[in-house]
Amino acid sequence: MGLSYREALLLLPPLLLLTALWTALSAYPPERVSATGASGIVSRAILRRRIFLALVAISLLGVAGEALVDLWAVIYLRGLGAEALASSAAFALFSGAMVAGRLANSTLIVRWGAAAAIRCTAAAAASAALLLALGGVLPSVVAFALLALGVAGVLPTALSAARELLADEGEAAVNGIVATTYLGFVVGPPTIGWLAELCGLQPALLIFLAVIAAVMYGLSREL
Amino acid sequence: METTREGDIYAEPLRLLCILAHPDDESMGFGGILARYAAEGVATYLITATRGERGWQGRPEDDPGPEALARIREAELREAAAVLGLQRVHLMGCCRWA
Repeated sequence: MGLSYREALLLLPPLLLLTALWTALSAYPPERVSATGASGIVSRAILRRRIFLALVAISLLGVAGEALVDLWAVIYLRGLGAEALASSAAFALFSGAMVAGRLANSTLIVRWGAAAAIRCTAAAAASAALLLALGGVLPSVVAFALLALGVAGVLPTALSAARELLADEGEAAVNGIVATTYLGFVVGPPTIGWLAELCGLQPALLIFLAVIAAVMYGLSREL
Repeated sequence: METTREGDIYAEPLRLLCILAHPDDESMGFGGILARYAAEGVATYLITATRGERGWQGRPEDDPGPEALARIREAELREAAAVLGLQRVHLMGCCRWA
């Protein structure tokens, strides 16, 4: 209904081609990355650093956004009446969009910096919310693809920002961020499920996307 | 011509094959989708590249070793597969490259 599996898959090649063109224009990584900090153990001192907490929150929400696309997008599309085959093809599109998002993100950071990259994620989440609010299969597919594009680069952005902004404790900051990242995978999707039981899946997704957009935009000023 | 081909695809009983890296990816990543499709009558299958031989997260001294760990991870995977309604699970055991 609304979208065939073939149409869903046809959206993927242009997306990946655009990404290849976009990333071909810049060299990455921009400079040699070297290990910093002594032990890499997360200390109490780093837990009080505002920038560290901001990066943890950013990466947590970014990963929760990825988990949202992985787990809820297809279920939502099926609920809208999309064919099982088309929904599976849409899943391939979302996975491709995440690849594209992660590749394109490196160019974004090199050219405009981490704050701009996180603001792009906020914009992608806000746009995805608007498209989901429209309803219908095609706007929803575009919404999830946009969200996948937007959130895929968040964790690498947070990790490279941690290296740069917490140079004295870069190693510990990276360890702390990676450790909390799994929480986003584990807690994100059930939280949406719990919200969905209270108010329905579409409002739950809209709330979650609004939180991602608002928090990402707010915290981008810290970078 | 197009309509015929499309029609043939939809006439076939639907099957979904998931190829993933490790045991637990099926539950962490998109267990909900697998469960949903299985509940709708789609035949769902899973292949994992490894048997979870290196999936130890605790202290190194408590690591039971690759073979024992693989047996634990495989048992966990088969329990998860039953919950998710997977028809068949195949573990490739490609850990030497992982």
